Amino acid sequence: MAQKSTSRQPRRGLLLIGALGVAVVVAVALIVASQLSAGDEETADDRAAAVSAAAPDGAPAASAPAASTDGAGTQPGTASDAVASPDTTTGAGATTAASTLPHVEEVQTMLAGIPQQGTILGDPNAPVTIIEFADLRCPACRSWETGELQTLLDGAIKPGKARLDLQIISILGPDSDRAAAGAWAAEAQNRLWPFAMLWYYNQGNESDEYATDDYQRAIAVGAGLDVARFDADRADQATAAKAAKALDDARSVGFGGTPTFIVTGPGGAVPFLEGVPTAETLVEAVDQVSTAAGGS
Amino acid sequence: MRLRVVSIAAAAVATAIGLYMTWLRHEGDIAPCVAGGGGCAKVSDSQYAEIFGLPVSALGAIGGAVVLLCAFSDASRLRAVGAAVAVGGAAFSLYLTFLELFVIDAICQWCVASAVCWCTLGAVEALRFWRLGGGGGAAAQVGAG
Repeated sequence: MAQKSTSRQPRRGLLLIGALGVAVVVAVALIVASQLSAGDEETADDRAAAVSAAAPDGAPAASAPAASTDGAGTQPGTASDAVASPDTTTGAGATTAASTLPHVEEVQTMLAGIPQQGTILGDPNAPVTIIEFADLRCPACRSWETGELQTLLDGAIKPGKARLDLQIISILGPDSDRAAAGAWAAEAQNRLWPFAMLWYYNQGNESDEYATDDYQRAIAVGAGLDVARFDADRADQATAAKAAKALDDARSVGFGGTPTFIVTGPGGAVPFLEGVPTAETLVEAVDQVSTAAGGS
Repeated sequence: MRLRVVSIAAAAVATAIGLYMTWLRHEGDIAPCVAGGGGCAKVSDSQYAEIFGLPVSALGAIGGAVVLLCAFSDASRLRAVGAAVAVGGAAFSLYLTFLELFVIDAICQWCVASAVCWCTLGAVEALRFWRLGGGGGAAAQVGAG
């Protein structure tokens, strides 16, 4: 009996050491793999650094795309118009040479051929409107715009079933106020969508205050904005009033955070006030409210 | 017996959280922070949320399931495996919590809950393994008696 007990001791010790060794190996392997994997990916700080590198030097007007100062920027257009007619401000294509900002081509491709006017992306006469409340500094909004938007564009916006109304609000402090002012200044030139998408693709770290003049001008150049006018509009009280009204609208519908979506059409309204829907869910909601008898 | 119950409960919760977060990721949904804030979205959007394409939450679900299965067993080897995975998982959870606090600058409530479960599992499984004996524990002693 005693012999049996003692013979267990070495085995017990070995198992203990073995288990501890395996635990250490498992933990170290996971940590090393995590670090190696993360090292391959772009971080928010990397993105912010890339925007800084692309920021125009000197007077902002000098860095603006050549043909964007004659008021034509207030006319609606599409990204594909721009490629065809580089002498209008409606074209992000004209900005390719002017901007070294990452993701410009990606955003051009995403928005190509889709009408843009003010806050609206898509056919202005589409029967259904998808209202989106978003903050440019919100990481969840970035996830949605860079991960889900393409599916929504393909499923509802490009076919003309719905139009997307982007209401940029500020809920994340003073830096968000500056970001929202930039967005609404871009909206005044019918460039909200490329501006917002470029912002999201190049979004900085939420804990940093990165929405500086240089950062915003770099995004503005990438989005094909008249930068001098953009700077003037950002400082305009009317621009701040638009951002404030959007926030009031968001509050009046009881939004629970960003991004928030509301799908409205002849068949009623489907609000997504809590949680974030997938693009597929929004397409289903569009189909649901697109006819008078179909909504809730 | 009490330790086993604690271990099974913690492993079940850790597995459930891992499965839920993996499912959200698969569906393209963003993890909701129950008490508000955008910490969960920021953490799940960070470059540390995946290891070479495999969601960290999936690793948590797999590890939790392994510990859960091992917790039901009295076999010494399975107990050793359970203890090793639990202690390794606890260490990795602490590393992830460090990343949240000092690198990502955001706290995800689901990750914190998972880390609490894993640290509990690490401590309990190590204690079980130590107290009951790596070589068969009570069963071995009964046999020896």
